Amino acid sequence: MKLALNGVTKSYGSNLALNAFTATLEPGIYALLGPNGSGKSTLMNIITDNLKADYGSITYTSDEGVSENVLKMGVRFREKLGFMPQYPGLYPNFSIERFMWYMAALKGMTKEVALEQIPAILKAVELDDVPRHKIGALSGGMKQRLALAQAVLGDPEILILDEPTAGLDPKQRISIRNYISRIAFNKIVLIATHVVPDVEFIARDIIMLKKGVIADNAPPTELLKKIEGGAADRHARTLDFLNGKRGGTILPRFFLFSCIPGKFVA
Amino acid sequence: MGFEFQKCCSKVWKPLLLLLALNAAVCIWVTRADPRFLTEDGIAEFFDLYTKNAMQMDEEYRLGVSRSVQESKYAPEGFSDWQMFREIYSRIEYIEEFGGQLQNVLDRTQDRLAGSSGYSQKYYENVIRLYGHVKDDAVLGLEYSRGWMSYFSYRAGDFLLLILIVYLSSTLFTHERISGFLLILRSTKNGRTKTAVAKLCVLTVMVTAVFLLFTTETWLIFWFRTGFSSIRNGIQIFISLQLCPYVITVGQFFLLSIIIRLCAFIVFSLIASLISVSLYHPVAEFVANTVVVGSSYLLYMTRSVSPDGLLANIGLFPSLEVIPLFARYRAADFFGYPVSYLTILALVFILSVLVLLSAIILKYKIGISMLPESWLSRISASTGVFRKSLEGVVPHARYERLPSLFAAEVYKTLFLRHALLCIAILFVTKLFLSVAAYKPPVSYSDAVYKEYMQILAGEATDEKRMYISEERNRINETLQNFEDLQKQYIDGAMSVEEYQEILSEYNTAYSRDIYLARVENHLIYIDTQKEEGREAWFVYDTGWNKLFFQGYDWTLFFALLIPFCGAFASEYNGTSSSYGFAGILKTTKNGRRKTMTSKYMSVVCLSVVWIVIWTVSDCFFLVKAYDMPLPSSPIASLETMAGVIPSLTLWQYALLMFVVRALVWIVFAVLVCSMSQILKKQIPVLSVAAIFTLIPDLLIYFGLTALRNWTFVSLVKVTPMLITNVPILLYLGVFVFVVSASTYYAGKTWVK
Repeated sequence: MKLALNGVTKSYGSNLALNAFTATLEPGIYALLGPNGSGKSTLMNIITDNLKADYGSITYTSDEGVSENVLKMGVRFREKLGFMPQYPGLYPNFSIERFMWYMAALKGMTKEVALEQIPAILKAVELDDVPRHKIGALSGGMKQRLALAQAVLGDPEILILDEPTAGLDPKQRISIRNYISRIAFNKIVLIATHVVPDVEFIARDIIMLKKGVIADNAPPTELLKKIEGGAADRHARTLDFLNGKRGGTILPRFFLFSCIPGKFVA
Repeated sequence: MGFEFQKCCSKVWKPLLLLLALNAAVCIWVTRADPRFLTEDGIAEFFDLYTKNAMQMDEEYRLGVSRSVQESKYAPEGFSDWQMFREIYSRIEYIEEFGGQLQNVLDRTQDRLAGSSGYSQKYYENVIRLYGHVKDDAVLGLEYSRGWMSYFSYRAGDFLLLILIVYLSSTLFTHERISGFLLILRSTKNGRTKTAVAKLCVLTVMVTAVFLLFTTETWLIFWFRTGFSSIRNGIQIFISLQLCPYVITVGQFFLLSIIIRLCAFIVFSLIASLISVSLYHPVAEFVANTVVVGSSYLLYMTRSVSPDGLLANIGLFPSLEVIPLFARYRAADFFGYPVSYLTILALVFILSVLVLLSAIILKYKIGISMLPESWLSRISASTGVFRKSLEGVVPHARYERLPSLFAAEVYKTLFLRHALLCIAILFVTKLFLSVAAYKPPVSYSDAVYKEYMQILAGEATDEKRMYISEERNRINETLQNFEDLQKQYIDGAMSVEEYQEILSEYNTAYSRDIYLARVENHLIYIDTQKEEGREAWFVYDTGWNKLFFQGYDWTLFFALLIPFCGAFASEYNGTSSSYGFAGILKTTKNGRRKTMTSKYMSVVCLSVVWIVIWTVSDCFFLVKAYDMPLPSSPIASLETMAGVIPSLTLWQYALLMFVVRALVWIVFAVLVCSMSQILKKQIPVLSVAAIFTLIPDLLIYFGLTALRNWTFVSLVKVTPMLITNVPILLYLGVFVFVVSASTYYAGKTWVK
């Protein structure tokens, strides 16, 4: 299975949000890093067909080797999608369980499959003890977990997650990260995030976006080698010093790097 | 305050320009010259000529002036000199009799004063004092008083200004809540009381500014189109203000009207702001403000029943109209002292402003619920507490049902968008309005008419013709013989009891004369219809006319507009890179075409349910209050329905009317649903729906009569279109086409 994005371009007036984005995604977790306004959400909305690209194409290749443009696939492509946007806009007056069943209906699942998956997913995201709570009454973190739950419902082949760990405490972030890692087997998972530790150990590739252009695209280990030494390292050591850490550092260098706007490795 | 001003201006300037343009258009239409009547310029010129050559022109009139249009010397084309002279002499007569009119008032009041005491005495003394001043000091100059009364009677701009004020207050308060900025604002040092005060200052300044803009624009248009007469003339020069108890000129009255109207608008803006800070929900505010305006209007309408009532003369609409406040001296009893309505109004203004300002600042300061729909969520939370308390008693089953998309959409409409609550409120309102609208007729005239029609019910047979003829003879005889009989009584040839019996018969005959004439006219009508190949019967038609000429149902309009304006719009949110839940919805297998179909189906089905409930309610009240006899009568039996499809009976027409009306309402609901997707926000949908469905009727109300029977309201009423031979099918077809096109476009944008 492959998802090939070829020259995907999108502008808003004179602002080029995404410039000839080209990448091929195979089963595994891909981290999409970039400062605000770099085009991450635009890319995700284009993949999920919420936005039309100005140029370029997205092609899906099945396990049998059949390639097809996703726009032409339409419903058949959306059957394989699970999407968690940055601001999901969930219905405040739905209860959690009613909402999940509604999502099951939207995803065309049968009752039996839904009956099997919904409790398991709610348990995995730690919402199984409050199924009758209204969404409007949930905390921000709980809403985030619910948004993730609806994305993974139906066992989609392609998961698009925009800031899946935003608003979660460290323990929950680790839990979610591990959960994503578990379910990512034989799936294409694209995660947009600012929090590198959430993805550095689980992502097979990190795609760095800057002003709509891919600044870099490599596995985490390769990226680390690239930025070792030079200015990046000096920055990292300075921050280590400020944080009271000497020698080894808990935070990966390119996390610190990515916190400095516009300072990606070319 | 500068920041608040900046925030407000940036949002308000577009609707302001739009409404100013609309006001200008209506003004221009209202001030158009009607070729049937003398132009303002034409009359004014003649007046000027007369005032310069009064003696000569009087002599000419005495010698005889032409009534012929062709032979006229002074009159503009199409009119005669005689008409011009009558205009001026009627004006002279009015001025000359003015003093006499007031003297009559004074004399009558003097008579009443003689036997009065307490409050009445003081009231009459005030009347004598005030009108005495007016009689002595008011100066009425001879001139053609042009322009002013049309200007003062122009009301269209008030409605537009009210709409703008509601939008203004929503912009100042509610928009920040919706955007979420309110939470940040309130967490700052100056973000509560000081901000509230700043907002209210800005509101007052903005209301004053837009009011002056509208007033200036209207005045200028009237000035260019009709001109204005002298501002130095006494206000009593106008017939409707003949009994104004104050010695003021037209110019002074103009200034006073500006002040009073400005105060009314400011008070209304504060009410709208209080509603905003209480509800923080645009749709609920829209409804609440409509209720406020509607209630004010209903109170104002009680003037027809009680013209001197306090509530009918102190309120939003009388204040905006101003003329009722000055039409005559009116006062209320305040601990035995008469206090004029103007004084009361001033006190009410001051008190209202103080109370409203305090309430708004306090409410703004105290705070808001953290939940988006604060008061609605409190209701929901309280039911949740109740539910939880039951859980120990009745275990709650887990929700394990795979809903159909249709059921999900119905659930979302009824509970997520609070349609159920909205419908309940509107239906209760409907019931209250129906009680008033369908009151059984209690008039003597209707009772007599009903009696005749019941006797004659059905086809016009020879027997019935004979009955009418005999009844006519009986009445005529009674009326003719009464004088002689009265003379006999005066001469003593008749006892009191006999005379009273004859008097009673005479009174009965006298009152029945008119209604029998109506029956006779109906018989002539039946014969005429027969000659033209249409059948008509005698039918008591009061109830049927009530049914066929029902007014526009505002409650159903809002019942369809408010819940469905969020059909698609509620799936979106305003943030830039996110599409709200629509983003998720449209990525699922059934989230596009099937969801769209389900949404439209839910809208249609819910519309049908509500239309049926509303129609059944109407029919219930109608049948309870009125007789609806002979439903199988031909439709032409009702003189008002002579032009309608002749082959129908009354019940068939009623059915057709209900079906067409239901169809129009359903198509309207579909339009609202489509607009919800096209515009993606609820407030614009409400605004657009209101503009396209209601503004044409508002324009007709203020003079744009060319649109009569071609508006959405006429289409819903059905009968006015049919009886005036408007091609209703064509209009319906165009309406359906427009809605279909919007639906197609909405569907395309949702699915793609």
